[in-house]
Amino acid sequence: MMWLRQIIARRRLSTDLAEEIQQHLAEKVEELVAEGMPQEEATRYARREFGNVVRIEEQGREVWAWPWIENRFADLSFAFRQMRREPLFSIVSCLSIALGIGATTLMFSVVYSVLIDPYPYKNAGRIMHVHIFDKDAFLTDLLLSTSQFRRFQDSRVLDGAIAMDEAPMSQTGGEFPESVLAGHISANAFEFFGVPPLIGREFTSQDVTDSAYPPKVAVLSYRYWKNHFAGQQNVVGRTLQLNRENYIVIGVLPARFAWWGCDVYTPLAYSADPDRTVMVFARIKAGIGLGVAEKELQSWIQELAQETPKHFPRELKVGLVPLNDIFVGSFAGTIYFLLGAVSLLLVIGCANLSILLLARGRSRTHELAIRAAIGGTRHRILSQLLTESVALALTGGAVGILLAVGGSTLIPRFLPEGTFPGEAAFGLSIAVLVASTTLAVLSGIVFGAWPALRISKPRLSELLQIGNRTFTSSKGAKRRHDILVAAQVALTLVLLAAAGTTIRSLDRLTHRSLGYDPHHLAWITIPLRDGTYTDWQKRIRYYSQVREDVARIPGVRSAAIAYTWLPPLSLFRSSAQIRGWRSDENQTLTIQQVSPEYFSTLRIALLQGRYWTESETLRAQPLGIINSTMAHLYWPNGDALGHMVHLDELKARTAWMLQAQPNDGWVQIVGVVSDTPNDGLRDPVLPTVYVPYTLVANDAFDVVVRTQGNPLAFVASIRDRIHRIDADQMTLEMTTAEQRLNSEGLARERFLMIVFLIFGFMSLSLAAVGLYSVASYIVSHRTHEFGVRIALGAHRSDVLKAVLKSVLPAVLGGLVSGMVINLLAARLMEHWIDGNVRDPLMLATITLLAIFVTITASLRPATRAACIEPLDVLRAD
Amino acid sequence: MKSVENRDLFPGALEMMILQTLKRSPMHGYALAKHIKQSSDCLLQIEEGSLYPALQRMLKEGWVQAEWALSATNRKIRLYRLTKSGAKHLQHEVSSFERMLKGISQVLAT
Repeated sequence: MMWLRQIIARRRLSTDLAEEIQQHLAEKVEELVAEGMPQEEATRYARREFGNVVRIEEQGREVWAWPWIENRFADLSFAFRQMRREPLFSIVSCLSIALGIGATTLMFSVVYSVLIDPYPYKNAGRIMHVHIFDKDAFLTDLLLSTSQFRRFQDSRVLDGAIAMDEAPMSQTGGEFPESVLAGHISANAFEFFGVPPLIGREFTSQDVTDSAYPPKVAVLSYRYWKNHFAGQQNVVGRTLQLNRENYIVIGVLPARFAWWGCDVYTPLAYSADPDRTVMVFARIKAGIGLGVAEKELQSWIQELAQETPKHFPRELKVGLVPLNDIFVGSFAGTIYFLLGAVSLLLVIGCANLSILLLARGRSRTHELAIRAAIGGTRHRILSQLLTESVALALTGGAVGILLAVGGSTLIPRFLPEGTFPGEAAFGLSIAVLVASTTLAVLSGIVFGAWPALRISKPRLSELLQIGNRTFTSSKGAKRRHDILVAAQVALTLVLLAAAGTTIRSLDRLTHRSLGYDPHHLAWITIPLRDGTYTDWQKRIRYYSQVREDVARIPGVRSAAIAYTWLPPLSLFRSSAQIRGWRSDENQTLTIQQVSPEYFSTLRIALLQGRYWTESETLRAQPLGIINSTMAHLYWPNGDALGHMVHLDELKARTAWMLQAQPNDGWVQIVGVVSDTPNDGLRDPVLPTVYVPYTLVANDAFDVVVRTQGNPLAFVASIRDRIHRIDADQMTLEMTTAEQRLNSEGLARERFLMIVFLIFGFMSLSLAAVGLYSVASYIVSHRTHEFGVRIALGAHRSDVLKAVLKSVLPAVLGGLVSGMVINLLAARLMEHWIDGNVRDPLMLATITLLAIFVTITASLRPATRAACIEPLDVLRAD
Repeated sequence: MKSVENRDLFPGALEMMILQTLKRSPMHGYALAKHIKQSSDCLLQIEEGSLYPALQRMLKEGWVQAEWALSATNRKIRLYRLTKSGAKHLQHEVSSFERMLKGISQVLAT
């Protein structure tokens, strides 16, 4: 409590000290007078002997105070007064910082919510996808039968595991069946995730007494609850009809619980059928390395694979992949790259602060010299100047953080889909706020230090120079400005190069030849309900009837069936053998299961041979059509037709797939079609075999349609046709080929382009402001000189040239060093943004742009100089 | 904490002299200044005022106590008195100072 008493006693201590000092002086004077000194002289003498009273009182007070903190507060309040006194200076420097801090904060919050803390789940960092790689490192998620899962759970490297089967279910009971994505999760799942419900309760292992027939209960996702129950609090106890069965709603999950993006979660039914497999996710124990866990699980899973060999590739390898790697993947690098880019922006903004402080410092030399003369130590003046720059940075930072708060609500809409998990909560967290504030203070100190060190040197000569006018601006100050401007221009050029590269890259991607026509093309996925159309013949008939009925809709030009991901992706790859190929080694091919109309619907050109016919499809003839990449790879002489290919994965691997008899995996090549991208837009086309979808009939299929006009206008009529065939059949959302192109590459590229354009524009404006300040500063300090020159007969254009010439070295230096940085860092940048950073046309364009902007920025101060009236200048003397 | 001492003195010297003076009898600031000046035969040029920040520091440390009193000449004075912990501190400082002095003299004597 000592400090408390000190605070209370401080005022008294201070008056005591003052009184004591007065007594001291009085006593001394009295004594001196008694010795015969005249009163006036005695007073002066006593004071001289005593020293600076004010300073000593202050030192005495400082003993009791926290002088450091109190000085900072005094400095801070002075700094804010100072800011109000020079509003233009303050606004420009605060805005420069605000842009930098705002952008950095926004990027921090993306890094935090996407990379550092994306999941609300307990120990989310240790939750893993268990991937099974075949020998070609092509991966699938671990699929186990439920009885295998029971044993798998007990592995000693695991801290729990859950099983899940995710399937669209049909919400019945309404006018139209609606598709609901249901996650059937093992009863332990909610304990595994450790996220308490928002309303009601979650199911636990205690609820499930008979695992083959678990209770029909459902826990709703937040989104589903909002959309379908209007966010009503009394939802618990209501019923939800899924696949014509009633489920009781027992709870609602919080918004951030978005595991697998499901709408509802229901208990998983354990089945005795080994082909009814489930996905498995595991959490590894704390302190166990990925490698160790992988090794341990490898032997476990190999044992399980021997029981059900058809669920596993022949040579399997287990790989554990942390949850976030799936979503973020290569985008993590891009995010860090963007973070680097925004720090450049921050540096450019901070350089403005330095420039402005330096320029203003000169007009304050007088004030500072007086401060030094009346006893301000250098240390004290320095700390005051630093406080001023920190105050500016903090104000700018506060504005920046406000901008970021506004911006963070836009992030989820702005970030390309699939690059961040649904669980991520965008917004400002405490961690981000602390980081940004620290950054603001640091930028204030670092970028204020240089000007402060420069102008805090008390120089008597400058005190005497009352008029504060110089005939030439000091060389040192000029050089400092040059360096700052050059740095700004250089960094701006780097950001512009990034922007230019992304523009070119997007342009290239949009103009890439696709091999199919994405206009007026769309598809709609139709998932079967579990336990329907379990007979191969019936399923095929159903599928082809749907296709025929959809094709008959007026305005639908053609319709096809496919079980694949449409371009630019493909659904699955398979190891394969090619008869007669020079090596026996297994090849990897992608498989696309389609109906013969697929090619005409997508407008993929037939290069050689023929399509299979509809009757061949219905009879499940083992025929294949290959893409031209595959034809060139294996039959460069153009004799691909007639060859036999064995596709290992062309078989029913789970209970939901029905295999045609007698499909033995061998197909004969009957045609060659042109390439379409099937591994994303950026990567080369993979060798592909198209086979009739009837060889293995899956439990879901896509209807692909080409329409007259916007395909989305046909959704209702397509759904109507499908419901007329099967009233309970649900359909998923329609995706157009253009949307797919967007989400699979274009969106990411466009996102980067927009971000870098914004960064480039911001940095260009900041550099322009910096250059403008420097030019104005030069003009204001050479006003007299220019006036005299004009008076002596110099042409006004000479003055204009003189100003431009004085900023030229900085701009040129910046352009050259920016170009050098671009060339040196090209490799690094190309790692994260596609395209050629060294593209000469692009580099030339951005350089011209930078030159144009810098000239424009310095032109106004220059013309001001040229318009100086010599008489005004001379009269000012 | 920065202390603005007289250039001629090493840190803590002023405190040591004040404590030593107060050890003999309580005194007020002016008397202290006079005493130190006189007993050093004016060898030490101490700015009189520098006494007061030092006294404040020692008050804070609890080495001295202060109270208002009336002097013999009927003047209001603030009387400083050495405390127990002040005496202890003085003893410690003096012995370490003597050691230092001895060391320096030995070096200078060689």
